[in-house]
Amino acid sequence: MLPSFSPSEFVAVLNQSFEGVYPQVEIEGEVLQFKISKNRWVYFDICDEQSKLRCFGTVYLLPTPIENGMRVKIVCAPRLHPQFGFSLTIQSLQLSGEGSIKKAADLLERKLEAEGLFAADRKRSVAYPPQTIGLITSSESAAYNDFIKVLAARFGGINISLADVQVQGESAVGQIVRAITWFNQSAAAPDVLVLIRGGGSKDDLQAFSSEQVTRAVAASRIPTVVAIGHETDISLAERAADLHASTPSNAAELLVPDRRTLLANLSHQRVTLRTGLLKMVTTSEQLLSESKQQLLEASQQFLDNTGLNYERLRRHLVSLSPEATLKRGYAVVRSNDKVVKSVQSVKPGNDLTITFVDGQIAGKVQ
Amino acid sequence: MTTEQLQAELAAIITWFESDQVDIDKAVEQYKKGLKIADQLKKRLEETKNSIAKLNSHFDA
Repeated sequence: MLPSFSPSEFVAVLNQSFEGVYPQVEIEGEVLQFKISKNRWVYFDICDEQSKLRCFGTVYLLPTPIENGMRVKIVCAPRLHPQFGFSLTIQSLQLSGEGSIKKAADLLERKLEAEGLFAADRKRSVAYPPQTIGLITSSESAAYNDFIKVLAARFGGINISLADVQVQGESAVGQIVRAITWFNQSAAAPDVLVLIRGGGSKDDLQAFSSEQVTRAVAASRIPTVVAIGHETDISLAERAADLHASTPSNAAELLVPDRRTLLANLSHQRVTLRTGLLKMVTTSEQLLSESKQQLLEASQQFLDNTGLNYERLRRHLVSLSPEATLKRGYAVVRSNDKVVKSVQSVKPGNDLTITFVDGQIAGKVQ
Repeated sequence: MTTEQLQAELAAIITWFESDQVDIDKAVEQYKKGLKIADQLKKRLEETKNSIAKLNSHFDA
């Protein structure tokens, strides 16, 4: 006897069968009829030459923008919907094939560019030198060692907080984004965030061109420096960073001055100080010498002026002397050794002595 | 004081010497202060090391 079902029962039985036999499968194929609904739901067909299967998922599962023609590998659960038929519920999606990856990267770059994430006017200045650095990298990488070594050779006194993350592989994107978020939410946020890794293949570097890492770098309220060693193409995270260095060592060079240069400057400043002091001593001596000269000149002038005045005074005094007056024809009349200044002061019969310039004569008042 | 503050102070002293004012007492005082700062800076530049603290947080989901 054949099994007999109602449509709903048969849908339920088939879904149970799928869950039992193929709870999760991986399918690789080409994307066709890609569609996003309400900015949330994603629909497309995954195809090969003979077949196509309807796929359904959310936009949050897409690692990058998708277009028709791209080759993808999806992990999904087969399901029969009571009304819409068979579909694959996507659990994860990744691009496959060099062409698809390149195409997706170009699409993402154009999208982020249009949003202004790489705009020059978004770039902020980075503290020079920073006192604290939030370093995001793998502590086992050559990039980490290069950065620390070059930084130590150039400058000291910087406090580095290391977020040890994977810089490639499946966990890399999530770990890097969480580390950026952690530093941004930290009460004692560092002066700068430095995200670095060494060079590698395109696959190795994929995390640095992922939408999530690029957006996290662009959204960081702490200024960012991103450097990937010796790659041909610049990653999107580097483009979104406030400062892009060519290698991890170069990042250290851009962040801090070289202590040898600073020590040379210091020697120069010592010389400048000494020169400044000597110049001031010389200037003071000159000013002192000028003041001395001015004092001498002023004293001389004073003495000269005083001498002139003295001579004038002396002449004036001489002109006022009794001898000078007598010389001019005057005479002094005395009575009883007192100068007679008025006719009232003498009486008839008083003796008088009259002094001229050249002698005296005696007389009597009548 | 931070290294940057010391550098700024030394630069200010040098600027003072470059000005036109003449005050020999202050100049001697500034010179001594400048040399002291330069010594401090030299010591810091030569001896101060960077510190590295690995965060305990793991950044897995």
